[in-house]
Amino acid sequence: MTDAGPPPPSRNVSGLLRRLRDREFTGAVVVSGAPGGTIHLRAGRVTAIDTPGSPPVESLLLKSGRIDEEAWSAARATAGPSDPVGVTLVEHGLVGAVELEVVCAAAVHDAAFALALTAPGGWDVAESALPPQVTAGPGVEPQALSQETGRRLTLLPRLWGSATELVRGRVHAPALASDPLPPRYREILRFVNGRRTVRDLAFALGRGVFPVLLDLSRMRARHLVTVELPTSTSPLGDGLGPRTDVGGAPPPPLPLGFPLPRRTPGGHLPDRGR
Amino acid sequence: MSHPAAPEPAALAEELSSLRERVMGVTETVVATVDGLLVAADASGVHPESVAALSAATLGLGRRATHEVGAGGLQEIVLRGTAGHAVVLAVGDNALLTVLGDEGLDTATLRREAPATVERLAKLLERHRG
Repeated sequence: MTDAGPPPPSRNVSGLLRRLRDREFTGAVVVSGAPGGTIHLRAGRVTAIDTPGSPPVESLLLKSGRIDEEAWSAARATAGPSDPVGVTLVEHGLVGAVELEVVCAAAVHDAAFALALTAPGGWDVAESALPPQVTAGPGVEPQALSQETGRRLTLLPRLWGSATELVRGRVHAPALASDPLPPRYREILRFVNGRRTVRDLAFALGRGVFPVLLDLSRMRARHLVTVELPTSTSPLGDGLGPRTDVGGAPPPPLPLGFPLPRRTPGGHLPDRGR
Repeated sequence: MSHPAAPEPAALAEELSSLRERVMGVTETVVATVDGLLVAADASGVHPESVAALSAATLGLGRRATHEVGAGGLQEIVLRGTAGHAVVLAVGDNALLTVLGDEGLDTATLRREAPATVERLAKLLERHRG
Protein backbone atom coordinates (compact mmCIF):
# COMPACT_ATOMS: atom_id res chain seq x y z
CA MET A 1 0.00 0.00 0.00
CA THR A 2 2.95 2.28 -0.30
CA ASP A 3 2.98 2.72 -4.02
CA ALA A 4 2.33 5.98 -5.76
CA GLY A 5 3.24 5.11 -9.29
CA PRO A 6 6.89 5.65 -10.04
CA PRO A 7 8.41 6.67 -6.72
CA PRO A 8 9.84 10.17 -6.96
CA PRO A 9 13.56 9.97 -6.28
CA SER A 10 14.34 12.36 -3.47
CA ARG A 11 17.30 12.88 -1.23
CA ASN A 12 15.26 14.13 1.68
CA VAL A 13 11.70 14.50 2.88
CA SER A 14 11.35 18.15 1.90
CA GLY A 15 12.54 17.35 -1.64
CA LEU A 16 9.98 14.56 -1.80
CA LEU A 17 7.23 16.90 -0.59
CA ARG A 18 8.07 19.44 -3.30
CA ARG A 19 7.85 16.76 -5.98
CA LEU A 20 4.56 15.51 -4.58
CA ARG A 21 3.30 19.09 -4.64
CA ASP A 22 4.09 19.28 -8.36
CA ARG A 23 2.03 16.12 -8.86
CA GLU A 24 -0.80 17.44 -6.64
CA PHE A 25 -0.55 14.20 -4.70
CA THR A 26 -3.20 13.28 -2.12
CA GLY A 27 -2.21 10.74 0.52
CA ALA A 28 0.55 10.58 3.07
CA VAL A 29 4.28 10.31 3.55
CA VAL A 30 5.16 8.01 6.42
CA VAL A 31 8.50 8.92 7.99
CA SER A 32 10.17 6.39 10.25
CA GLY A 33 12.57 7.44 12.97
CA ALA A 34 12.58 8.57 16.55
CA PRO A 35 10.05 10.06 16.48
CA GLY A 36 8.60 9.20 13.14
CA GLY A 37 5.43 10.68 11.82
CA THR A 38 2.83 10.76 9.09
CA ILE A 39 2.66 13.78 6.81
CA HIS A 40 -0.81 14.14 5.29
CA LEU A 41 -1.11 15.74 1.88
CA ARG A 42 -4.05 17.03 -0.12
CA ALA A 43 -3.31 18.11 -3.65
CA GLY A 44 0.30 18.27 -2.54
CA ARG A 45 -0.32 20.67 0.35
CA VAL A 46 0.44 19.57 3.91
CA THR A 47 -2.86 19.40 5.81
CA ALA A 48 -1.61 17.70 8.98
CA ILE A 49 1.38 15.90 10.49
CA ASP A 50 0.91 13.21 13.13
CA THR A 51 3.99 12.70 15.29
CA PRO A 52 4.69 11.91 18.94
CA GLY A 53 7.16 14.81 18.81
CA SER A 54 4.64 17.65 19.00
CA PRO A 55 1.09 18.19 20.29
CA PRO A 56 -1.66 17.51 17.74
CA VAL A 57 -4.46 19.97 16.99
CA GLU A 58 -6.69 18.05 19.40
CA SER A 59 -4.35 18.80 22.33
CA LEU A 60 -3.97 22.45 21.31
CA LEU A 61 -7.76 22.85 21.25
CA LEU A 62 -8.62 20.84 24.37
CA LYS A 63 -5.84 21.81 26.77
CA SER A 64 -6.13 25.50 25.97
CA GLY A 65 -9.79 25.24 26.89
CA ARG A 66 -10.93 26.51 23.46
CA ILE A 67 -13.10 23.41 23.23
CA ASP A 68 -14.32 21.25 26.09
CA GLU A 69 -14.10 17.48 26.05
CA GLU A 70 -17.83 16.92 25.78
CA ALA A 71 -18.12 19.10 22.69
CA TRP A 72 -15.09 17.39 21.22
CA SER A 73 -16.62 13.92 21.72
CA ALA A 74 -19.89 15.12 20.20
CA ALA A 75 -18.08 16.48 17.15
CA ARG A 76 -16.20 13.21 16.73
CA ALA A 77 -19.41 11.23 16.98
CA THR A 78 -21.13 13.15 14.18
CA ALA A 79 -18.08 13.44 11.95
CA GLY A 80 -17.75 11.14 8.97
CA PRO A 81 -15.30 10.63 6.13
CA SER A 82 -16.88 13.37 4.03
CA ASP A 83 -17.49 15.52 7.06
CA PRO A 84 -14.30 15.49 9.14
CA VAL A 85 -14.07 16.67 12.71
CA GLY A 86 -12.76 20.09 11.70
CA VAL A 87 -15.84 20.88 9.60
CA THR A 88 -18.13 19.67 12.38
CA LEU A 89 -16.38 21.82 14.98
CA VAL A 90 -16.89 24.89 12.83
CA GLU A 91 -20.49 24.00 11.99
CA HIS A 92 -21.29 23.54 15.68
CA GLY A 93 -19.86 27.00 16.26
CA LEU A 94 -17.22 25.63 18.65
CA VAL A 95 -14.36 27.31 16.88
CA GLY A 96 -14.13 29.90 14.13
CA ALA A 97 -13.13 28.66 10.67
CA VAL A 98 -10.19 31.05 10.53
CA GLU A 99 -9.12 30.28 14.09
CA LEU A 100 -9.14 26.55 13.35
CA GLU A 101 -7.14 27.12 10.20
CA VAL A 102 -4.53 29.08 12.16
CA VAL A 103 -4.30 26.37 14.84
CA CYS A 104 -3.97 23.64 12.17
CA ALA A 105 -1.24 25.52 10.29
CA ALA A 106 0.62 26.18 13.55
CA ALA A 107 0.44 22.48 14.42
CA VAL A 108 1.81 21.55 10.97
CA HIS A 109 4.75 23.95 11.35
CA ASP A 110 5.43 22.70 14.87
CA ALA A 111 5.36 19.05 13.82
CA ALA A 112 7.66 19.71 10.85
CA PHE A 113 10.14 21.31 13.27
CA ALA A 114 9.84 18.34 15.67
CA LEU A 115 10.45 15.88 12.83
CA ALA A 116 13.46 17.86 11.58
CA LEU A 117 15.23 17.56 14.96
CA THR A 118 16.23 13.96 14.32
CA ALA A 119 17.40 12.27 11.13
CA PRO A 120 14.62 10.23 9.55
CA GLY A 121 15.17 6.49 9.36
CA GLY A 122 13.41 6.33 6.00
CA TRP A 123 10.16 7.31 4.32
CA ASP A 124 7.38 5.80 2.28
CA VAL A 125 4.71 7.35 0.13
CA ALA A 126 1.32 5.95 1.14
CA GLU A 127 -1.62 6.66 -1.12
CA SER A 128 -4.16 4.91 1.03
CA ALA A 129 -3.32 6.36 4.43
CA LEU A 130 -6.23 7.27 6.67
CA PRO A 131 -6.94 11.00 6.44
CA PRO A 132 -6.11 13.12 9.48
CA GLN A 133 -8.79 13.76 12.07
CA VAL A 134 -8.73 17.52 12.02
CA THR A 135 -7.80 19.69 9.09
CA ALA A 136 -8.80 23.16 8.03
CA GLY A 137 -8.04 25.30 5.04
CA PRO A 138 -6.07 24.32 1.99
CA GLY A 139 -2.99 23.19 3.92
CA VAL A 140 0.57 24.50 4.00
CA GLU A 141 2.75 24.80 0.90
CA PRO A 142 5.71 22.38 1.24
CA GLN A 143 8.11 25.07 0.02
CA ALA A 144 6.98 27.51 2.71
CA LEU A 145 7.04 24.73 5.30
CA SER A 146 10.62 23.75 4.64
CA GLN A 147 11.69 27.39 4.63
CA GLU A 148 10.10 28.02 8.01
CA THR A 149 11.51 24.78 9.42
CA GLY A 150 14.95 25.78 8.15
CA ARG A 151 14.60 29.19 9.80
CA ARG A 152 13.68 27.61 13.13
CA LEU A 153 16.59 25.15 12.95
CA THR A 154 18.94 28.06 12.25
CA LEU A 155 17.65 29.87 15.33
CA LEU A 156 17.97 26.81 17.53
CA PRO A 157 21.66 27.06 18.55
CA ARG A 158 21.10 30.64 19.71
CA LEU A 159 17.83 29.84 21.47
CA TRP A 160 18.71 26.61 23.17
CA GLY A 161 21.66 24.60 21.89
CA SER A 162 21.94 21.48 19.79
CA ALA A 163 18.96 19.51 18.54
CA THR A 164 20.01 16.66 20.85
CA GLU A 165 19.93 19.03 23.78
CA LEU A 166 16.43 20.05 22.81
CA VAL A 167 15.14 16.51 22.28
CA ARG A 168 16.75 14.85 25.28
CA GLY A 169 17.52 17.63 27.75
CA ARG A 170 15.39 17.78 30.90
CA VAL A 171 14.28 21.19 32.08
CA HIS A 172 14.95 22.12 35.70
CA ALA A 173 13.90 25.09 37.75
CA PRO A 174 16.86 25.79 40.04
CA ALA A 175 15.16 28.23 42.39
CA LEU A 176 11.83 29.80 42.98
CA ALA A 177 11.70 33.10 41.22
CA SER A 178 11.20 36.06 43.49
CA ASP A 179 10.39 38.64 40.81
CA PRO A 180 6.87 38.85 39.53
CA LEU A 181 6.69 36.77 36.38
CA PRO A 182 4.44 36.93 33.34
CA PRO A 183 1.55 34.47 33.67
CA ARG A 184 2.91 32.42 30.76
CA TYR A 185 6.20 31.82 32.56
CA ARG A 186 4.40 30.94 35.78
CA GLU A 187 2.25 28.47 33.86
CA ILE A 188 5.35 26.83 32.39
CA LEU A 189 7.09 26.66 35.78
CA ARG A 190 4.09 24.81 37.17
CA PHE A 191 5.04 21.87 34.96
CA VAL A 192 8.84 22.04 35.20
CA ASN A 193 9.92 19.17 37.46
CA GLY A 194 13.33 18.12 36.20
CA ARG A 195 11.83 15.15 34.34
CA ARG A 196 10.21 16.85 31.38
CA THR A 197 11.83 17.74 28.08
CA VAL A 198 10.70 20.78 26.10
CA ARG A 199 8.43 18.47 24.10
CA ASP A 200 6.95 17.03 27.31
CA LEU A 201 6.26 20.55 28.58
CA ALA A 202 4.56 21.44 25.29
CA PHE A 203 2.23 18.45 25.68
CA ALA A 204 1.56 19.23 29.34
CA LEU A 205 0.71 22.83 28.45
CA GLY A 206 -1.18 22.11 25.22
CA ARG A 207 1.06 24.53 23.32
CA GLY A 208 3.44 24.06 20.41
CA VAL A 209 7.00 22.88 21.02
CA PHE A 210 8.53 25.89 19.28
CA PRO A 211 6.47 28.54 21.10
CA VAL A 212 7.29 26.87 24.42
CA LEU A 213 10.94 26.74 23.38
CA LEU A 214 10.88 30.50 22.72
CA ASP A 215 9.52 31.16 26.21
CA LEU A 216 11.96 28.73 27.83
CA SER A 217 14.85 30.32 26.00
CA ARG A 218 14.01 33.71 27.51
CA MET A 219 13.42 32.07 30.90
CA ARG A 220 16.81 30.41 30.67
CA ALA A 221 18.44 33.75 29.99
CA ARG A 222 16.85 34.98 33.23
CA HIS A 223 18.15 31.88 35.08
CA LEU A 224 14.62 30.71 35.77
CA VAL A 225 15.30 27.33 34.18
CA THR A 226 18.31 25.19 33.32
CA VAL A 227 18.58 22.19 31.05
CA GLU A 228 20.43 18.96 31.77
CA LEU A 229 21.13 16.06 29.48
CA PRO A 230 20.54 12.62 30.93
CA THR A 231 23.86 11.08 31.85
CA SER A 232 23.58 8.06 29.61
CA THR A 233 22.11 7.03 26.31
CA SER A 234 22.53 3.29 26.53
CA PRO A 235 19.36 1.25 26.95
CA LEU A 236 20.58 -0.25 30.19
CA GLY A 237 21.96 3.06 31.30
CA ASP A 238 25.14 3.34 33.22
CA GLY A 239 24.36 5.78 35.94
CA LEU A 240 20.79 6.42 34.92
CA GLY A 241 19.69 6.48 38.48
CA PRO A 242 16.57 8.06 39.83
CA ARG A 243 16.55 11.76 39.19
CA THR A 244 16.74 14.22 42.00
CA ASP A 245 14.19 16.88 41.41
CA VAL A 246 14.88 20.47 42.26
CA GLY A 247 12.02 22.64 43.30
CA GLY A 248 9.53 20.22 41.80
CA ALA A 249 7.73 17.09 42.82
CA PRO A 250 9.19 14.89 45.54
CA PRO A 251 11.73 12.31 44.42
CA PRO A 252 10.25 9.07 43.13
CA PRO A 253 9.43 6.59 45.88
CA LEU A 254 11.87 3.90 44.99
CA PRO A 255 11.72 0.21 45.50
CA LEU A 256 9.96 -0.80 48.59
CA GLY A 257 9.67 -4.47 49.01
CA PHE A 258 12.23 -7.16 48.37
CA PRO A 259 11.37 -9.99 48.14
CA LEU A 260 8.16 -9.21 46.29
CA PRO A 261 5.50 -8.04 48.71
CA ARG A 262 2.66 -10.45 49.26
CA ARG A 263 -0.84 -10.21 50.51
CA THR A 264 -1.71 -12.58 53.31
CA PRO A 265 -5.31 -13.76 53.57
CA GLY A 266 -7.12 -11.75 56.20
CA GLY A 267 -4.05 -9.60 56.66
CA HIS A 268 -3.69 -5.89 56.39
CA LEU A 269 -2.26 -3.85 53.61
CA PRO A 270 1.49 -3.61 54.09
CA ASP A 271 1.50 0.06 53.14
CA ARG A 272 -1.38 1.65 54.95
CA GLY A 273 -5.04 1.23 55.40
CA ARG A 274 -7.39 4.09 55.75
CA MET B 1 11.54 -8.54 57.73
CA SER B 2 15.05 -7.46 57.01
CA HIS B 3 16.84 -8.14 53.79
CA PRO B 4 20.39 -7.52 52.74
CA ALA B 5 20.73 -4.39 50.67
CA ALA B 6 20.39 -5.90 47.21
CA PRO B 7 21.54 -4.10 44.10
CA GLU B 8 18.26 -4.90 42.40
CA PRO B 9 16.25 -1.89 43.55
CA ALA B 10 18.79 0.31 41.77
CA ALA B 11 18.66 -1.97 38.74
CA LEU B 12 14.87 -1.78 38.70
CA ALA B 13 14.92 1.99 39.01
CA GLU B 14 17.44 2.17 36.19
CA GLU B 15 15.30 -0.03 34.00
CA LEU B 16 12.29 2.21 34.55
CA SER B 17 14.02 5.52 33.97
CA SER B 18 15.74 4.05 30.92
CA LEU B 19 12.35 3.24 29.43
CA ARG B 20 11.32 6.85 30.00
CA GLU B 21 14.46 8.00 28.16
CA ARG B 22 13.91 5.71 25.21
CA VAL B 23 10.21 6.15 24.54
CA MET B 24 8.89 9.61 23.77
CA GLY B 25 5.89 10.55 25.86
CA VAL B 26 6.46 8.16 28.77
CA THR B 27 5.92 10.16 31.95
CA GLU B 28 5.85 7.64 34.80
CA THR B 29 6.10 3.90 35.38
CA VAL B 30 4.99 1.58 38.16
CA VAL B 31 5.90 -2.05 38.85
CA ALA B 32 3.49 -3.98 41.04
CA THR B 33 2.56 -7.51 42.00
CA VAL B 34 -0.55 -9.03 40.41
CA ASP B 35 -2.35 -8.61 43.70
CA GLY B 36 -1.74 -4.89 43.60
CA LEU B 37 1.20 -4.26 45.89
CA LEU B 38 3.76 -1.69 44.83
CA VAL B 39 7.24 -2.97 44.00
CA ALA B 40 8.92 0.01 42.36
CA ALA B 41 8.01 3.28 40.73
CA ASP B 42 9.50 6.02 38.62
CA ALA B 43 6.78 8.51 39.42
CA SER B 44 6.41 12.18 40.17
CA GLY B 45 2.74 13.08 40.00
CA VAL B 46 0.64 9.97 40.51
CA HIS B 47 0.15 8.04 43.73
CA PRO B 48 2.12 4.84 42.97
CA GLU B 49 0.23 2.65 45.48
CA SER B 50 -3.08 3.55 43.87
CA VAL B 51 -1.75 2.95 40.36
CA ALA B 52 -0.39 -0.43 41.52
CA ALA B 53 -3.76 -1.49 42.92
CA LEU B 54 -5.76 -0.27 39.91
CA SER B 55 -3.30 -1.82 37.47
CA ALA B 56 -3.63 -5.21 39.14
CA ALA B 57 -7.41 -5.03 38.88
CA THR B 58 -7.13 -3.90 35.24
CA LEU B 59 -4.75 -6.72 34.37
CA GLY B 60 -6.99 -9.30 36.05
CA LEU B 61 -10.06 -8.08 34.18
CA GLY B 62 -8.14 -7.83 30.94
CA ARG B 63 -6.90 -11.39 31.20
CA ARG B 64 -10.37 -12.74 31.91
CA ALA B 65 -11.96 -10.66 29.16
CA THR B 66 -9.35 -11.66 26.58
CA HIS B 67 -9.91 -15.29 27.51
CA GLU B 68 -13.70 -14.95 27.44
CA VAL B 69 -13.79 -13.45 23.95
CA GLY B 70 -11.23 -15.88 22.58
CA ALA B 71 -8.66 -13.22 21.77
CA GLY B 72 -5.71 -15.43 22.70
CA GLY B 73 -3.07 -14.49 25.25
CA LEU B 74 -3.24 -10.97 26.64
CA GLN B 75 -0.42 -8.79 25.33
CA GLU B 76 -1.19 -5.38 26.71
CA ILE B 77 -4.00 -3.23 27.99
CA VAL B 78 -4.04 0.28 26.59
CA LEU B 79 -6.17 3.00 28.15
CA ARG B 80 -6.36 6.19 26.10
CA GLY B 81 -7.81 9.38 27.51
CA THR B 82 -7.97 12.82 25.94
CA ALA B 83 -4.88 13.82 27.88
CA GLY B 84 -2.89 10.63 28.28
CA HIS B 85 -2.27 6.92 28.10
CA ALA B 86 -1.91 4.09 30.59
CA VAL B 87 -0.50 0.80 29.30
CA VAL B 88 -0.58 -2.27 31.54
CA LEU B 89 1.75 -5.16 30.72
CA ALA B 90 2.14 -8.48 32.50
CA VAL B 91 5.64 -9.19 33.85
CA GLY B 92 5.76 -12.96 34.20
CA ASP B 93 2.90 -14.52 36.15
CA ASN B 94 3.25 -12.55 39.35
CA ALA B 95 3.94 -8.95 38.45
CA LEU B 96 3.01 -6.16 36.08
CA LEU B 97 4.39 -2.98 34.58
CA THR B 98 2.23 0.08 34.07
CA VAL B 99 3.51 2.75 31.73
CA LEU B 100 1.88 6.17 31.92
CA GLY B 101 2.28 8.60 29.07
CA ASP B 102 0.92 11.83 27.65
CA GLU B 103 -1.46 11.84 24.69
CA GLY B 104 1.50 11.92 22.31
CA LEU B 105 2.99 8.70 23.69
CA ASP B 106 5.01 6.96 20.96
CA THR B 107 3.04 3.72 21.16
CA ALA B 108 4.88 2.19 18.20
CA THR B 109 8.26 2.55 19.89
CA LEU B 110 6.81 1.44 23.23
CA ARG B 111 5.50 -1.72 21.58
CA ARG B 112 8.97 -2.37 20.18
CA GLU B 113 10.84 -1.62 23.41
CA ALA B 114 8.45 -3.11 25.97
CA PRO B 115 9.09 -6.85 25.48
CA ALA B 116 12.81 -6.55 26.30
CA THR B 117 12.07 -4.31 29.28
CA VAL B 118 9.44 -6.74 30.56
CA GLU B 119 11.88 -9.61 30.13
CA ARG B 120 14.59 -7.83 32.10
CA LEU B 121 12.14 -6.83 34.84
CA ALA B 122 10.90 -10.42 35.04
CA LYS B 123 14.47 -11.64 35.57
CA LEU B 124 15.15 -9.02 38.23
CA LEU B 125 11.96 -9.93 40.07
CA GLU B 126 12.38 -13.68 39.65
CA ARG B 127 15.54 -13.60 41.76
CA HIS B 128 13.60 -12.11 44.59
CA ARG B 129 10.46 -14.08 44.92
CA GLY B 130 10.25 -14.69 48.61
